[in-house]
Amino acid sequence: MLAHLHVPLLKVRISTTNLSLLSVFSLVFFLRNTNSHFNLYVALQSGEYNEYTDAYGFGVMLWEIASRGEEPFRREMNEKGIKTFGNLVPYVLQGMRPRANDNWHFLFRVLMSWCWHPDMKRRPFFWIIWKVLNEYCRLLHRDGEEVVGRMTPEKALDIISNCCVDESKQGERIATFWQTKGLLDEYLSWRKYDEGEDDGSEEEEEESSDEDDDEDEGKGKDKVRDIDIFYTKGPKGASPGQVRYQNSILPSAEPSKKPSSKNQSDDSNAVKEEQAEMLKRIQNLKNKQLTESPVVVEKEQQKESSVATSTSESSELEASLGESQQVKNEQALMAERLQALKQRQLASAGSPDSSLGSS
Amino acid sequence: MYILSEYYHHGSLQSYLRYLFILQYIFNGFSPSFLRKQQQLSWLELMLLAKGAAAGLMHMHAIGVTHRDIATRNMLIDRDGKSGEPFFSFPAKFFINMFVVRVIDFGLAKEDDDVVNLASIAGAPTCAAPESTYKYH
Repeated sequence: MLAHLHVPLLKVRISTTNLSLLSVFSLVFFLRNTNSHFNLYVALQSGEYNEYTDAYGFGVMLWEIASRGEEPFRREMNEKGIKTFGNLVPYVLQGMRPRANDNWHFLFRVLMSWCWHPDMKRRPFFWIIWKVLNEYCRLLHRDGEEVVGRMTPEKALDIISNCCVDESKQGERIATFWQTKGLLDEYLSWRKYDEGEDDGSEEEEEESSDEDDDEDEGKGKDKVRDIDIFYTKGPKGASPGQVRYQNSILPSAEPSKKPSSKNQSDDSNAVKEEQAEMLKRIQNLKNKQLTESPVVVEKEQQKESSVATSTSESSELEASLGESQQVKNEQALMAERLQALKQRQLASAGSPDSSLGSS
Repeated sequence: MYILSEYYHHGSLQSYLRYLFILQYIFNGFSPSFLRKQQQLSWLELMLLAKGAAAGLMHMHAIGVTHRDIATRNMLIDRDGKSGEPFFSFPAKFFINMFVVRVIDFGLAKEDDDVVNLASIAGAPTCAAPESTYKYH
């Protein structure tokens, strides 16, 4: 409450015409005075102020709540030897944010990073924040902290994206695909910034454990899966703002427990459908390759036939094969996925016997 | 304000030629020091605090006012028996069962129709967005 005694004296609006010498002097004094904590809370700021900047402030407030009353940026300033908040500004512009602890609730971390988006139009509206918090409070009331804490991040993001529906506009999803995509992207990039600063190999491990409950998957596969979540779903031609998803954006996490016998038939059907889609895609890709670059294919065949080729020819070929290599890479990816799907199918085919035997 | 107008109608305030501010009594500050004292708060309660603040700011944005100085020191906890949220692990000596979060300090708040000052002193630099900070360099 002491801050309130100090601050109102300083909160004087000055326009450019009224900017007198005294005010400039006082501002310099505020910026230079590092001893007093309360004076530092006031700084000269010029720029935009709208609901989006309010969302940023709310993110900092969430950090203060989650840290239970610590000062934001205090740790960072101590580590880097920053003495004034004025010197902090370029770091913030680069993307530095108060660091979150991994013990904190996932929702707090995600909401913070969403509110701290460098592009202000990607920050959430307050009705979305309220809806998300309301939904989470309801879940915590109903299920308790342990159940909610065990929830996978994907499920949590699914809940958040479901809260982004504007009911006044007939269920239109306002916070949209790209906002929820930016949510996870921003969370990851923010973590990356932290890791880059502190050589955090431990943090990476923690992040992987946070992001995925099943830790068997490698990091490369994780990246591929993230891209799959956000890019391969939905029509390709439409811009993300126009796309409306009736179902959830993110797929629900794969059940690690034994599935029931009723669901297994559905699962196997789904796997078959996926397989059929994959085959179609591969065929399309092959057709594409044939139609788009017949010359390249001929060159490839020549290359295969004549094993020993000169370096100049190979360099020319590489330049021309750039596109076809991309297609090939995609094809290889598809083949890998097909294999994985087959393995899954085999596993699902094998599991009913085991489940029956166990039961 | 209701009490003020009532007194005014009775004529008791007309003789005093001075301004009187009759303000609502609000129970407790929802400040960093408060949060530091209450280390045992669960995530649900912290989430309820954040939700109350978000509700107030949602209403402000709905009527077209931006606060421009959001921080924990500008949020207060008030007791409200009717429409508040339950507060479980609050110490018994405070005797609070239901609470509601109140947003205060509209000294820097701005309506949409206001003329924007090019230079204005606002808020804490830690809580200010990067695009609203003054460029020092």
